[in-house]
Amino acid sequence: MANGAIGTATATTGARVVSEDDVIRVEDLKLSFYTTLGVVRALNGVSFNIPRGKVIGVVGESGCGKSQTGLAIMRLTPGRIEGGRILFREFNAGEEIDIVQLDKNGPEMRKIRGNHISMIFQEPMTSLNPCYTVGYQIEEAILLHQTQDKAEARRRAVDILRKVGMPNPERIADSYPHQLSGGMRQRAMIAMALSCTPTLLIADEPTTALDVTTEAQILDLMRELQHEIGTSIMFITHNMGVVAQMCDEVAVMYLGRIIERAAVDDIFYDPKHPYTISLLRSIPRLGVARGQKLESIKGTVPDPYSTVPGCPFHPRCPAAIPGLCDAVMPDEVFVAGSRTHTVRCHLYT
Amino acid sequence: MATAAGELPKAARGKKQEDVGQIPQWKLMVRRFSQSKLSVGALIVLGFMYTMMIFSDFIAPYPHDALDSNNAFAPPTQIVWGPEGPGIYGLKQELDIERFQWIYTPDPSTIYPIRFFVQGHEYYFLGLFPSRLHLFGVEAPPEANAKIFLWGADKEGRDLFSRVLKGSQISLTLGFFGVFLFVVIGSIVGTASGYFGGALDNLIQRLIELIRSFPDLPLYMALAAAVPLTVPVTVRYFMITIVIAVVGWTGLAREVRGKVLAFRSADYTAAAIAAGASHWHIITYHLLPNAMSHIVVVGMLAIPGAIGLETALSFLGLGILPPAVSWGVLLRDAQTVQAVVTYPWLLIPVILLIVTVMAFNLLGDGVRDAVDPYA
Amino acid sequence: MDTAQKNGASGEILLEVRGLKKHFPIQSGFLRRVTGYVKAVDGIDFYIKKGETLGLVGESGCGKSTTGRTILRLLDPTAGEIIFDDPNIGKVDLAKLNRAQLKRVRPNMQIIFQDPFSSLNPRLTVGQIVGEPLEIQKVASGQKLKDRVAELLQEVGIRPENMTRYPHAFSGGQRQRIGIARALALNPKLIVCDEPVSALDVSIQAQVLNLLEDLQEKYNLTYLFIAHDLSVVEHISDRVAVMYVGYIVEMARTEQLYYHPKHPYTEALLAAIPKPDPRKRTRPIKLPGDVPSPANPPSGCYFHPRCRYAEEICKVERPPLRDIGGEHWVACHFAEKLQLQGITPLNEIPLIELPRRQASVSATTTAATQIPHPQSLSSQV
Repeated sequence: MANGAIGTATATTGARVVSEDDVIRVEDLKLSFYTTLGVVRALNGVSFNIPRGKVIGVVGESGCGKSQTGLAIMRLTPGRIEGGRILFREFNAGEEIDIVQLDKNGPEMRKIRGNHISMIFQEPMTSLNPCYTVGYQIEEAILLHQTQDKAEARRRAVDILRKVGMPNPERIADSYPHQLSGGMRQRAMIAMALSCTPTLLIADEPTTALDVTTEAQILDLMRELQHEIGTSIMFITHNMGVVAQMCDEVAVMYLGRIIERAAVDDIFYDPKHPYTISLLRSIPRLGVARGQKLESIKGTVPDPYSTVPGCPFHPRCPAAIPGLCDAVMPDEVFVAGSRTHTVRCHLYT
Repeated sequence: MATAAGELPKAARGKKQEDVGQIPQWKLMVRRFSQSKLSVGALIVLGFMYTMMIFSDFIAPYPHDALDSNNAFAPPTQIVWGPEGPGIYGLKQELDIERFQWIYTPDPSTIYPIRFFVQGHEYYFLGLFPSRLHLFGVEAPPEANAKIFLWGADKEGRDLFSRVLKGSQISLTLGFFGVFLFVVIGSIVGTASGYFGGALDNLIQRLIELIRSFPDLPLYMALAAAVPLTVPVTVRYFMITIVIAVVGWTGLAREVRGKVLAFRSADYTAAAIAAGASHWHIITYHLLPNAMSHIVVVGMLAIPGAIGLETALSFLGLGILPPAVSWGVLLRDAQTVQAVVTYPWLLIPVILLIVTVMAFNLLGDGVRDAVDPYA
Repeated sequence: MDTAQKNGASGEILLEVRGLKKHFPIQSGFLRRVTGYVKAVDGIDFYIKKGETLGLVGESGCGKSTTGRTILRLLDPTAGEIIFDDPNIGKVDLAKLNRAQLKRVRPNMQIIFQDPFSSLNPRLTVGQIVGEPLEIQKVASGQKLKDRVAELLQEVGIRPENMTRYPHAFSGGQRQRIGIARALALNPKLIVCDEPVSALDVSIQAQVLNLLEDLQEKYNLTYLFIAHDLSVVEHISDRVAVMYVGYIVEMARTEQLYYHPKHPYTEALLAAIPKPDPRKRTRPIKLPGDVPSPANPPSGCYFHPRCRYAEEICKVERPPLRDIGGEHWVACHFAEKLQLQGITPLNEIPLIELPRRQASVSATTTAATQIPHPQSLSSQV
């Protein structure tokens, strides 16, 4: 249903904002895990696009598939991609490449990974090798994708370390990851990810493990660099505050589907999906309604092995319509009067 | 009462989805274990071997120490089909003067039938109940020299099959008990070391380092040599068990200590302390049950080593001594190249030893994978 | 608005901590010689009144969890007094009690943990877990124990039938509820909540916070609420104490602390909170360098190397925690002089009412008739 003509603003049923200037377009992506306890359907038809130079926030609770979406784009997911397309267009090339069709360990994918699309993780030590200095690891990435000249690579590595706000980039380049603090490591990882000026940066909860003051500095840095380099960022997080601070557009995920997609202002000031509304109400907000009860979403996310008929949110939804929501999966539609705000809910169809 | 109440909603929900929550963790482990085909296969092999061991006196057609000069180095007997079902030929024994070897030629004139559930020599089943019943035997007059040697005979004409069965009673159990002993010692010492810490921990760790710094083989040999030669075989058996345990416990104690350290700092232990729990309560309620799966795995993986060790000591003449039989003792007959070339069936105990050790290793692997839910 | 009054906090002090220190020795070498100390908690003073919630915030490694555990004597303090007003015994200094004496006081102070996975023993059933404190204290046994456990589970919103199930069958939020039931088992007066919602998803976080508030009201509980999420702390606490490298730098009533901070570190913390409002993007206050190691803290005020208001005296003299009026305690030489920026409330974000389900919805009604007007949704500001 997402296979409408490229370049048109909408497809007929599956409402989607599509433009020529998307760096990545994910269409109906399906991903499953086959475990000993059963099949986990992690993504059940995820479709979205990331426009050039924008920061897209992907939010949702644990198990909603937000991280797996990022890993699927990198072809690093341990799950099995069972359908859909991931169309990627690099900076100057007009050709779109379907990442799903590439061999995940093949030369084309390796060229994309780290060069055109890079990823940063919650725990920097997963991507920094403890055996090599930070500088060496950045140089290696540059030598692999950008230049053959070693001195030039070194110069660029120190440069990028300075850019991410390292106080003494020459010294940091010669330090090993374990010698750096958590915030510094995260900066080093961002430097590594940005060393090849990627078209798309996937940031998977990059600040979740950090303290609030460090988090603020890292977010500030990412925002600055994004303006400067113009990289598109897919920002995966569960923190609504971080989303509000960082993102241009937001996709809200629930149980392997995007249930609402809008500009960040619309998500916070005009949310449509009952899940988005409940989510926003359940976070304590500074200075608001202190001493009153928070609104909470009843129940819990169903266990990953079971499948929910109809809308996946209906068992927890305060506005569920019996006979409809528990039977029919709602389509993704435009909110009345908007060309950018889509929602997947029977209340709006 | 509570169980009955707990099952109500389960029934109400229908039996489509089984309630994973009521399955204790060990059952989940069993389930995970049963998914490893290799390990299940190993378990079946070992089950078979231990069953054979338990019934060894019943299965063995002859006493393991019955000398028979007429059948020295007799090869595995050929089984033929006679008028009364399976049977064997009698053997004619000749001496090959040139090569100084016994040559056996079957005499096809008479077929002596193999009978099942026959009366034979007397034995004590499990060392308790006297019995003369045997699984099978050959019906032949004493002068016929028609004996069934499934796996051939040794240089004294003793039936190797019967001897291997008898030997399994020692070889398959001694390692087991040795490991059991060191698991008990290791768990106690390791728990004490990890839980109480401080000077006790320091002392125990230094002691373990001291013991481990001795080279293994000379230590075992010295300890085994210290066991008097004249003691009865049962006493010797237990002393060799202790030899195995003396060195083995150190590794386990270290691992248990590490686990206990982790569990001691777990939040559920803190909650118990916050409620005023005693040391004993914490150890028996929180530490040991959680460490148990780990202990079982380490023990499992240690059994093949202990079995091999017993065999090695017996082979060197430091473990079980003839006339008692263990697989190690049997291997002494296969020491020379000449024996191996001329009488290859003497190597059967080696094959069994390899199968046993491999099966234990596979079993241990399966158990380890099953108890570690995050691997 | 004022939760303290709502709870009827009497103003009586339940717990008072004076000069509490917890130093962990750093050992090295074969002989394990002590080569230094990690000063996780380095001389803190605070008090909690009956029925109130004191929030304890700070960044990782600042010693807030160590403080909680030392108060409960899960760790032995290096120095200082922990004076607890036990309902049976009266005021006692927990720091001086031995094991047997502690066992009598322990029922009155319990703990809730952060990690819903490591806080429940996977080998025990939920019934055994919740009943364990009752068994340890020999309060109940047999059927009485089972009834009490069922009651406790009901209290935290877990169906009593679940008693025979094992923790692995529950989600993080449910496990946290089980942990809360265990803490309630002995009818405590004080509960140390050690980051009770940090590991939970936002929607579950709200459930657990509400549960904690309900229980506080019902049983007149006193909470020491340890957390790093400043929004959560603001929501639940009556007073807040801010820790930095093993030291309390500021303690005040919640509104006072959030709107009128007096310590530069508090100001930086508040500025760093990512506010869930895209129309209010803030830039953080630049904090040069890293949080110092508690094994090797700087001289004078520990915050001075990163403080933009620091002067000579800050490098030399460590400011004591002092009351500058109205129960506002600050450890800063210039508390009275500095004009610091607090938070501004975020209340301009409209709280949109959920679309109401249409009255008399039948299964045959088409979906189209149920479209609510988008205007009606956003109009209820």
